[in-house]
Amino acid sequence: MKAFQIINDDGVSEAIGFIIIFGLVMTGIALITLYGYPMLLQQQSNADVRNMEQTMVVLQNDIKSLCYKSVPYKETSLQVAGGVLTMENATATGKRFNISVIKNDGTINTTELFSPGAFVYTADSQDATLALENGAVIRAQAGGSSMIAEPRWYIDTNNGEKTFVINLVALNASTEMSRNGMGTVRMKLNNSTVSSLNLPKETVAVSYTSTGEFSRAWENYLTGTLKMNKSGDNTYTLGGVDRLIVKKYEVQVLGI
Amino acid sequence: MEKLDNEAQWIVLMGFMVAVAFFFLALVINQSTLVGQTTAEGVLEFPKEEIRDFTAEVATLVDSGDVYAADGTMDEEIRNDIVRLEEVRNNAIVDYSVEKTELSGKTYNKTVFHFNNGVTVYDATVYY
Repeated sequence: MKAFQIINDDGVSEAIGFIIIFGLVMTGIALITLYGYPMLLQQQSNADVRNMEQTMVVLQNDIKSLCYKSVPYKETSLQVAGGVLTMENATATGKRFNISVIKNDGTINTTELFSPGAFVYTADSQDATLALENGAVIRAQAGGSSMIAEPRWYIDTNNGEKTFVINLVALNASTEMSRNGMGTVRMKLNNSTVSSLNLPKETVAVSYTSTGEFSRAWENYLTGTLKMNKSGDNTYTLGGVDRLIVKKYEVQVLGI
Repeated sequence: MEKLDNEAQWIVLMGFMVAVAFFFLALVINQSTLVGQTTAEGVLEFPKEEIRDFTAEVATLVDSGDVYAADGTMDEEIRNDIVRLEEVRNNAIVDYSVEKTELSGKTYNKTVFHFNNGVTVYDATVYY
């Protein structure tokens, strides 16, 4: 059999073969550097933001334990990557929440002006801000924001009586703090106050005023989950409320 | 000419398949932290002890008869105290009502419980 075959390897050169293989390898490396590496970095930064979302939910759970479960002190180790975690004092965020009662004769009774304070994470390489404000975890991007974890505000209807419970959580610290890398968030509950108002089927108005980017998230929460009506800019109302309970918690952040 | 030796091509194929399998495994593991977190929260969130505290307190009052005022109706003062305490201490809205009910010739205290802490709503009717 072998005798009949013609072996034609005149055009085979080891040098050309090497150049072709080398060229392929170099092209491969170039493509990976050009497209693969930026994609990898993008993935990394996405993962950082997603990790931070989870960390924010963990911090929110810590705050829940402090406020609703009578736990006096909490600390959580966390890693902040791809951005900076800042703790904004209640006085720094300004009075964002205004809770008032609109009486049936039309007079307005302001019951609470509240500054929440916040944990804010700002990502370095992408447009994402995460915030833990007033017990809610919010993600903001250019032009909008959404709530990742909701605060514990609720409406209880029992025997035809509507009770509206608003939990307000303020974060306070002696100074403003920020963190990049490993850190430990240490928090304790300073004090809590309850105000309970009996209203004969009156309207409760909540308004959220902020220069920040979280108003859309609060709007969706108040009109969506709590089914409040939007009346005017940043003001939301709920009618037919028999009792309004406003609980104010002050959480002291000892360090991050 | 030498015979083309392609007997071991399946090794390359297996390598490729293992790589794909690792990729999917990584995706699944990535999701599992999220699932674990939510499940753990769910268990922590259920206020079993708080509901027990509340129902046990009312049951004690029913047993001792203190739940009724002198005129045989429910004692509103004690009820208001319990409602306020639950509001302040447990961050929960509670309510109960008690009335004497005849059931097959015997008198029972029909007790209706209501508990709501924003996450869990619990309603129960119990005959003591």
